[in-house]
Amino acid sequence: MKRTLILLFTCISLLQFNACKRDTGPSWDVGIVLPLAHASLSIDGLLTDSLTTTNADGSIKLVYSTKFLGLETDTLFKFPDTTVANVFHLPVGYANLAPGSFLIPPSTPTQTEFNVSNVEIVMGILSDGLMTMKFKNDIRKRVIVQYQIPCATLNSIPFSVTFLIPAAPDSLNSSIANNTVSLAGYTIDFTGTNNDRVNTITTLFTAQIDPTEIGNTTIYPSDTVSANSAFSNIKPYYIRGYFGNETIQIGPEETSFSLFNQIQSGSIGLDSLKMSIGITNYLGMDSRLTFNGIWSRNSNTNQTVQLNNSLIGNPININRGVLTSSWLPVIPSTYNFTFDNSNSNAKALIENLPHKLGFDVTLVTNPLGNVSGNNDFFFSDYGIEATLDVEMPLNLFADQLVITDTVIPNFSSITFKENILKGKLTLIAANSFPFDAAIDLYFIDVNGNTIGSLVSQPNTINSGPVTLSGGYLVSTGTANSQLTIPLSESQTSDMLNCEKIVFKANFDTNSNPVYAKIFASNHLDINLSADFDYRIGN
Amino acid sequence: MAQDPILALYRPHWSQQTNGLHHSISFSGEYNAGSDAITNSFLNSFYKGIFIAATSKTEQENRLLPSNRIGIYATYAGSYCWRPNADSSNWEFVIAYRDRQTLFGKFSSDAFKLAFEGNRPFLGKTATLDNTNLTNLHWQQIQFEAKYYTPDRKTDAVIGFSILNGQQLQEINIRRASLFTEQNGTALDVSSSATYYRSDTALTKTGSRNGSGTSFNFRFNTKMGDTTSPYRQLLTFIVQDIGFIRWNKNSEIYSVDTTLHFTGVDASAILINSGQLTGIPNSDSLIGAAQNGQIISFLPLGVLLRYTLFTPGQFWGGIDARAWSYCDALPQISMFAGWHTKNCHFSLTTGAAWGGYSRLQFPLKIVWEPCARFSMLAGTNNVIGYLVPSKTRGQGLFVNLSYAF
Repeated sequence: MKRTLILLFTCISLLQFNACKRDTGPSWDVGIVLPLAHASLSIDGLLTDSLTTTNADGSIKLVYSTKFLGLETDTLFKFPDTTVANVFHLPVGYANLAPGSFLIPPSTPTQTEFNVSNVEIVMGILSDGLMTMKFKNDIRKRVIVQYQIPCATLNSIPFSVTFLIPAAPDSLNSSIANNTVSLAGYTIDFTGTNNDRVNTITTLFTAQIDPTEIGNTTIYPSDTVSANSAFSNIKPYYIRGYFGNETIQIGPEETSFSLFNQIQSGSIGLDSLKMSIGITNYLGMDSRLTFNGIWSRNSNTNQTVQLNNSLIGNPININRGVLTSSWLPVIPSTYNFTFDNSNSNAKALIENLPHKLGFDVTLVTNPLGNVSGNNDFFFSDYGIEATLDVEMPLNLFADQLVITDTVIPNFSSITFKENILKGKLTLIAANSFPFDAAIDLYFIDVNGNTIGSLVSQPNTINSGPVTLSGGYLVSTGTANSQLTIPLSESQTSDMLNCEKIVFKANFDTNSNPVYAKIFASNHLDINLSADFDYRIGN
Repeated sequence: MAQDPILALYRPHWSQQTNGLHHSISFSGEYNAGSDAITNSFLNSFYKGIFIAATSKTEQENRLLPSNRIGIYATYAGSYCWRPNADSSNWEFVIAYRDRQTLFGKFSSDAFKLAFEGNRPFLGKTATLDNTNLTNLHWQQIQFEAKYYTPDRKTDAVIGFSILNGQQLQEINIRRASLFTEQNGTALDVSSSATYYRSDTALTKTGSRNGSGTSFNFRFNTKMGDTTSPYRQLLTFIVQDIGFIRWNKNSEIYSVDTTLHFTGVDASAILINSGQLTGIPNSDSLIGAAQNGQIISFLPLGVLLRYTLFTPGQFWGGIDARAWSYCDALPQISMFAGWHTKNCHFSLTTGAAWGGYSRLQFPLKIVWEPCARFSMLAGTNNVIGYLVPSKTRGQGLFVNLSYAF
């Protein structure tokens, strides 16, 4: 019997063992071939922030425009924060006042001048501004105060606010009340009560014991009722007056020039180039502007090329803009200066493949004095602008021109990526540009370090078949290239664990000094596919 | 064979020596797996969880048919049997708990290659997956059976009723599907028309109740001919698993009708200005969104008809025919012969069978009754499946341990 039971339980145990699921399942390798990406790149795609136009013969002209200088209006004038104080003291002795009695009766407004020098403002429309009022009441009755700015109007209604100040709690403590009101949208006349002043704001303060109070109150000489109003963050939308005769230095400073941002090294030669600097003056003020220097700087090579032209160092008189009733409310004065191969080294400036455009400018305001009779003006968003326009036919040669681009691949979303083993990438390109492109890929980790690369040999996408036409090298068709990039297991791992992939393309027309001509029909079509071993299971 | 071999293995086996005992319990388990294409050695690789080498895959691929069948069945059970009047009662009652799982279907040779080789062998070609079906069904049942013996003990009949708990259903029916891989891998063309059902995915543990149902089974034995003859004949007829499971309303139904030309993501924008990738396929565009609803699935029905001839000696023999409602399972014909010791403590049955999911099989069964209370039944559906696994298809083991008290 005992032996039978042992046998029975042994068999049951064996059954249970067989019923258990194994921790590790079967595994095998499969070969997965799939397209990863495709792209069709025209010249628009290879150049950033630019506009291309097509010439009559189908060739491409690149037009690039950038703003490189701006004179903001707050450089000319800025309202300082200003405080206006209105205080009532009982003149002598004691007073016994009934409810409704005026402590500060309506009287002559207070005139307060803004502390600004060399500027004479007569009128302004505010886009923003705050008035913060602090009231103090020593009287043991409620007091009604009215604060007015007769020179500030909104829809022809003067600024006026009324507040009820609580009674002082006892003879030793005051009642304090604070209020803030917005002045946005108000038109302010800065010429004072008699229109004979500048930079002046007028205020009127009255105080009255609340008529609804019950019984008289005794006021002592030490009792005061006061209002302090602080004007802050006053921003004009429009200002009129005289902005003085000032010399303003702008720069030297540099702004970004993004046309060649993705070019890392190499050089290009341009057939021709037209560059122009446009100046637009929206200020209702005469100025004199001098370009002390304009230059381009390549951040990679740190090479700087100064513009050589008669504009440099010679002052330009800039006329004032003119007020108009339409929108924009000002007709700016505009100036345009053109540079080409005949009058400057503008071609060299651009062939420097700059990342920065620098300038050094001196501006003199009202060089002839107050000729407008305090009728200078400006609108806050419109000062003086300068733009640089570059127009170049894409007739060029590229010599080992290296362009880089960074892609964030988001491989982290791939599940079971550890199951992806070795393989290969295949890049099939159809190129009708008249230049070769050699492609390399680099993998970057989270710290920005290069953790691997894929550099195949050969790695060149051949140019389309080329011929000489009109002295230019032109592509007459499409060349197909196939690049195979083997991926070892470590390279696969590097790729799947990288944060960024840097594509590096080395362009070469192989034509220096003959210029290659780019047409709108030129394309680079790319198909990238992967062929890798994938392990299914553990 | 790869499906429930209709052995009624879950029932307690009364020892021939059992006298005066009213109760019996048993534990049983069985598995069998078969295919008309997949060899046992290839299936063993799965079971053992080992790495399947390229040579093994190639060897297997060489044995594939244009359309291939596979079926795997596994179960374990515990049961209790009670007979009111030992040795003389006309009634016998059984209650059994059974956990049963089956996976069966058919697939094209391209489907196999795609699964085990990937699409690399199909560069410039189309992989065709038409008429590929696969069903995975896992359920538990509480089975009640009553067995009645006629007074002359010549005939007995069993009728059973089961309450079913549906644990898991996955069923894919690919009516039409193809995958074309461009020679250089730059494009994939997918075309498919298929349906996919699966039970509620929120509950996956053993015994999870994702569906419920009922089933019936019937068994009939009768001794034929002259009872005084030294040669006795027995006719057996079994029908089992007439039933269904209704899966709950959280079950998912996918109807796929997709035609897709995929050339990779469009990276033009990202290469130009670090813009967005476009053209990334999502699951909705490939298989559509799931619809929730109830699903009814019928249990794989099995029918057996057997003729057994007992000789005056220690030998017997017979023939049986079996059929299943499983996906494309062929009817199976078996011929068998047996021998037992004089004291009937040990018997052995073997034979040959053809059909089901496998081809030729050689079953073997032994019964050992070492004492009046204990009996053990064990065997295999195909003994040569373990002797030459690389050349045979179909395997299976079964065991039943019964104890009477």
